[in-house]
Amino acid sequence: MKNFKDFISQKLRTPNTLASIALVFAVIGANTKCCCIFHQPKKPNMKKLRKF
Amino acid sequence: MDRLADKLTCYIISQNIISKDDYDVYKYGMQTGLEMILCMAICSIVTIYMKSFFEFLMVISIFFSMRAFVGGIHLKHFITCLTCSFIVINSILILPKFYIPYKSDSLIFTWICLLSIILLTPEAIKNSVKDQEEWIYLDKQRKRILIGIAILGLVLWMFNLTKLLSLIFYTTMAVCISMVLEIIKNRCLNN
Repeated sequence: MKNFKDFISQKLRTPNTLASIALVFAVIGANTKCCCIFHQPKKPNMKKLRKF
Repeated sequence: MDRLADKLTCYIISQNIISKDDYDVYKYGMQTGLEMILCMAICSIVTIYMKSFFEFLMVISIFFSMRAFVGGIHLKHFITCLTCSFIVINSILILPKFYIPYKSDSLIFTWICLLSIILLTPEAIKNSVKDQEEWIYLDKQRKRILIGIAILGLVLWMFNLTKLLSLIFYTTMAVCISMVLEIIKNRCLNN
């Protein structure tokens, strides 16, 4: 259990993981009309993340 | 949530993982990610308690895939959004416990809702689509999703899965209502 906690806390502390998660959601946001839920923050210019 | 996203983005910039130029993109991704994860976590806990987690997964995948390319109402504040998302998703799951329409009725009304969505989409998203490329891409994806849902409805009808079919009907109806509300909101703002 302790190893698991260490692993999770280490992963959460790693900026790479955070950056990857943010990037995944940014890509979803760039390629969809809205990000699935009812609140939509203002979209920045995300042309480089578009698939089209 | 905005402040938390800002702090986390500043943190990854300070660690030299991303450049300052990408701040807006990463902050947007961080904010939508956090909001979605929190909303899904709360809904998942409630649906596990209600013993309808499988139905929740089905509703959420249909609801999300439709909203992603069809649009619908958006709220200004995260807390109102969270409350609204929670109420809508759980209402869709609770409704079949009170009333399940006949399977043929569910299928016909689902198709009517899908047709209404096709007709309402140009009006609902005209203010938010920025260019022709985006319009063509969204239109292509939307048609795929709506045809897929229509076929899924037909398959459930053939296998007599009336409860699941009613869930699809209630979900498409919720998306349809959401689009109508967005159109009304846009018209009120324009006037």
